Amino acid sequence: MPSELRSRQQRVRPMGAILVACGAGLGLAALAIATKKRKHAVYSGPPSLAHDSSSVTAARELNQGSGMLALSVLCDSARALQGQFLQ
Amino acid sequence: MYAPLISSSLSLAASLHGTADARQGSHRLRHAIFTAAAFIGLIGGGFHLYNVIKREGGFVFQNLFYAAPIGAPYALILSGVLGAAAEWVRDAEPSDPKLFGVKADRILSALTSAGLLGTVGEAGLLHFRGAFQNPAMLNPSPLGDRDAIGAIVKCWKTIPVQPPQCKVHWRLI
Repeated sequence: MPSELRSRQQRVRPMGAILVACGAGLGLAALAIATKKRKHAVYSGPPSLAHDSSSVTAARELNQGSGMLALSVLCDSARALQGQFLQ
Repeated sequence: MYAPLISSSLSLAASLHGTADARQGSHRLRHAIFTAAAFIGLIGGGFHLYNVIKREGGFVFQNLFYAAPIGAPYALILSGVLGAAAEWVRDAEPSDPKLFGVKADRILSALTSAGLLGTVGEAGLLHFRGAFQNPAMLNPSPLGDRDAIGAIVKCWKTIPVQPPQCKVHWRLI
């Protein structure tokens, strides 16, 4: 492996690791918030807009979904960017 | 290359804010972030498609395998649309939320199924690239496709409004 590429890899790898760690941290934070808010909630069946009288609860569940997708895009694009730097 | 990073970070932050927000009514900034994410995803999808078709051979498996990942931007679109839908649902009637005149649960189930279909399609493509070396690699494609298509059909059938009649003029194609 050429020395230039190796040194570039050494520079880029920590950046990728930091980005992935940030993403994982944010994901865990989202999970923690979601768990905290539901700790005292009474389970009333699976989450569904059809059976839920509160549109706010449904919207918050949708936000969890959009957040998870955004997290996956973040990790994916960080990995792609890392690959771009290595080329 | 930086647009999805920035956009997905903002979308993630907006989603976290939305998850913690128990108030009725949409939030303008959140809504703008989600709409922008969906729009950026759409533009990215166009770029990725262009990256595939501009290569020699055009829209062939070889280019789908090794060019820009065709399905990746659609996750950003889906994230933005789900976030925007969350804002619409916040503004909707609490007891019977509707989107575009259709029950929100039906339309969002169809959207989720479409997302699942895309995910399964991409997994199938990548597993096909790997020549299904392990028989377990065949698993997501047929099962996921069947479930996703079934869910979309079921949702479509239960929508009370008449679907638009699309007539295709085959002679022109």
